[in-house]
Amino acid sequence: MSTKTPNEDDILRPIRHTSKKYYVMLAVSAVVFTAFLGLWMIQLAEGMAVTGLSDWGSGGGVTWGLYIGAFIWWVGIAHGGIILSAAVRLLGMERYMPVARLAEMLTLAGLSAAGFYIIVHMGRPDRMVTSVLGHYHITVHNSPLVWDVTVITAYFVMTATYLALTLRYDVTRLRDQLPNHFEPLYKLLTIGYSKKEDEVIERMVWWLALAIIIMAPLLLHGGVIPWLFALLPSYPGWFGAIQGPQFLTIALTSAISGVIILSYAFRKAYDWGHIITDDIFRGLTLWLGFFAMLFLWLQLQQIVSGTFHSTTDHAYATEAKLSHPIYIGSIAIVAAVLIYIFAQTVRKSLFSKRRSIVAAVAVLAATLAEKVFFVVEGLMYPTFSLYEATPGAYWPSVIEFVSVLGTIGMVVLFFLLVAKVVPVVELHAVEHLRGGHGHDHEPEKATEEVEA
Amino acid sequence: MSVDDSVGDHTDDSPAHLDDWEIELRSALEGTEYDADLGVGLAKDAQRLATGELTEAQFRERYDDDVITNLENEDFFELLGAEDADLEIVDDLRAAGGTFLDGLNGVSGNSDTSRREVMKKMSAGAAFLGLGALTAADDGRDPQAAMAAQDDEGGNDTQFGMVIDLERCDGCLGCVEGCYEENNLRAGANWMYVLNYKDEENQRTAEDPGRLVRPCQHCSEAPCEQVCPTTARHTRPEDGLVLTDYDICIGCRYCQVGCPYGVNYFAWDPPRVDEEQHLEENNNHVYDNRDQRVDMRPPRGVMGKCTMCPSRQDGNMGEEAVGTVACMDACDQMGMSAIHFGDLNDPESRPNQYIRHRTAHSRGELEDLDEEGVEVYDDDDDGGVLPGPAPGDDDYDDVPEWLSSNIPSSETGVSTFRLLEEMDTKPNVIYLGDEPGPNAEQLSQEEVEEEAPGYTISYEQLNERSALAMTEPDDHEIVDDRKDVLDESTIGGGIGQ
Ligand code: SF4
Ligand code: SF4
Repeated sequence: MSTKTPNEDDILRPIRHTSKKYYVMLAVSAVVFTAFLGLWMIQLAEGMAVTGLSDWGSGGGVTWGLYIGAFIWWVGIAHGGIILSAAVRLLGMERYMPVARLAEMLTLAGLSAAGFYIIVHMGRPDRMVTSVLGHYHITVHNSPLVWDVTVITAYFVMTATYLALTLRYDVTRLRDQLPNHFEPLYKLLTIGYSKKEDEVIERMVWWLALAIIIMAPLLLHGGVIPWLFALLPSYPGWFGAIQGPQFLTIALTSAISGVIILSYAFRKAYDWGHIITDDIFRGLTLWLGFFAMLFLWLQLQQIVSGTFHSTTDHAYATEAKLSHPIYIGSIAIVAAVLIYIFAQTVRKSLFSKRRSIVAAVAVLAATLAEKVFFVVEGLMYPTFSLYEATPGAYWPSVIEFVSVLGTIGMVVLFFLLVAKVVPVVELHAVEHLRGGHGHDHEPEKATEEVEA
Repeated sequence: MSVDDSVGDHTDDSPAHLDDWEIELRSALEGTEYDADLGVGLAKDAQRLATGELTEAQFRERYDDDVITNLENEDFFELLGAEDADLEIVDDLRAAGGTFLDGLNGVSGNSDTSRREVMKKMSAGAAFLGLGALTAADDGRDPQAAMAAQDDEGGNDTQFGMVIDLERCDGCLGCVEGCYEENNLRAGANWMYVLNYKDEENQRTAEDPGRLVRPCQHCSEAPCEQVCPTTARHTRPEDGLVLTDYDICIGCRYCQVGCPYGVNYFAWDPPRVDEEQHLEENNNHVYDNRDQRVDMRPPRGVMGKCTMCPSRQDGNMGEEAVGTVACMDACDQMGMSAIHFGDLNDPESRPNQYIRHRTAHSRGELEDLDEEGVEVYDDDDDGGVLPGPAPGDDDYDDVPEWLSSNIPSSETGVSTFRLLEEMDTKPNVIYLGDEPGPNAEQLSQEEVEEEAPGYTISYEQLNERSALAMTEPDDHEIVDDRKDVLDESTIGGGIGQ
């Protein structure tokens, strides 16, 4: 663990220095993203028959599949990120301050990926604006999908505002050291800035953080996203009150995993061992374990209620779930991660950042698989299960698989580009680590922070 | 869409009340040999005639024959925007001694040019007024009600639906074929579908299977409609049909997810009949009387399902098609008459007559019926009265009660059910026969062929029977393996089981 004192130069490093590795990553993510765009064009040209989807019923397939599963996954990652950042501000979890902005940015990138999935999933994306907005005043009363679009938009706007407000502080102070070619952008960001606003902004950000924390469980992954499924009584695999909490735990596990991976990448690339400390990784990993436990606990609830003495359709759907390797596999992965995390809290020597990364990647893979399976399973085992002899099974097509890589590429691209324009670590965080700079926080060194 | 404005009294029109159509018609008439006031007034009264505000006698009283004759020539129709083809019809009608009114109807109902096209070309409101209204009147439906239903606030009591007698169905798949041909459906997108199942709880085995004929249930509380983010899926207020506006749908497929019955078929692939050709050949058939594209198979990227043939109900397919649906026609033609479509709220509609007749027969109250116990409907006696309780008889009023819930056969002589009533979707298809239980399992074609030969025909046999499939096998093969069809277009993956 480094004991260097962080300074402005540290957080400006991504903007000033561009390594060869950076270009390689840029090229790779651009290629992957473009490849998906190309495949999407094929889908637009040929019709959605290029996917592995079909109609449920006598169509023998499922009408929602990987696209919707991945959509849920991205929303989960996205809004877990903002919860983390909001918690830093609201609950004073200051040790995570250095990764708060990364988490906020992950929210914007994740929501963009999710929004992109909505469009990719549509048969007629060209009509999105006219058909959805044009009838919004009617459909908002009863279509969970409209609620989704509303809340995702609200979240995006709130997060962007939040980020923009905190960026004003940094950009003004670091202005001289920022590259000139983005001048207009910085001007726009800092328009009308005066030192007096700092206090006001801090309060605004606090309120925004509060709103986000309240909205998340009530509305986003604890609300409208699960309601897409949980409100439909004709699908025993979906229906019921547990989906809200269940989705929220999945969101938080995947979001923490996302932040772990992201923080690790930046720390490694820019030598930020003294900013994003080992301590942060230990803490995040522990949180990952905690949410993984909640995730498994709620899965257990579903399995027990679906097997003990449930209705025919429910029992049938649960049985199908329990006999599917994808479900078993993803639960087993999360369980293994949980066991590792518990073990490393007891025996500290088991911890390593590399292991944390492995755990994070494994959890992300498991939650994606679980979410896609959740969507597909619901449609495969509906209450009206009379179509059983109709042949057909779902396996995602190449286009659908590549969409996951494509959106990951899109998110990586986002970070690569944004990191060149604005600092991805808050100036506040550096000031804080240095021991307060015009701030009323208790001076303390990262290295002195107490282990959670 | 509201037409209230055009039903005004023409004597007290002030310029402020002038509608666009009126201004247009007026300016079209001005500078011709016709009296503009008279022309506009006549057009308006024609509509009042249609809505029943005016009787034909009153109409004739108001306009002496000279005026009518004066307007009864081509020029006037031309002014209304009719096309050559229509003018020929007008001529023919006049030659046959028809009147101005027949002329208008000729343009609206029977021409090759669709009514929609005429409506578009004619100066806006005049078209609606002259033609829309008259066709509504000529459907034989209550024009007042039809007009009220146009109003968003309105709606009337008509609720189209079906009574399907599963005990009469013999598995000939005539309905599947009829629907497929009528709507240019994609291979495997069988809006009408017939399932065979075994269900131990109900003593249905592979040797003695149960059957379910499954169109869209046109639910009164349709979840598909509730979840739609665009209002594309909607209930037509005038008759309760649940339809999809193909021009609004964004293809999110939430309706398919929301529907508990699995009756929706998304247009994943290009259609088997090219879009342009389809529109050209079926202009009358794809748009309903509100000028919304809701009928026949959807274009690519949007959702389709059984429509219960709205353009037939609107008279676009000709008089004789009003009150019928393609599957019912096909079933009748096969001599089975298991499907009975009509207004469930009208005690004299075919489904209600049938259900009364069937009950009476099952209770042994009807004598001298043929062995089958049911008179077969064919093209000639559509709408004919079946023997059964008549208004005033004790049993007559049983029907509403019947229709509202599943009543055991001990009381009615035959069991009835609606599918998944507990979901509270209020489906408008009432089945006579046994309901498949929660453990019922569909039997594959092969299983049925093996265990209960002759219980149903296979899709291969259906294609052999179908003339179209014989002549143009590529385009017209009727299949039930939608997934296999779609897998052909799947890029890498999508492997079946
Ligand atoms: S059966 Fe399904 S598609 Fe038809 S109206 Fe009911 S919910 Fe909608
Ligand atoms: S697919 Fe079309 S009709 Fe169905 S819910 Fe989506 S927009 Fe509505």
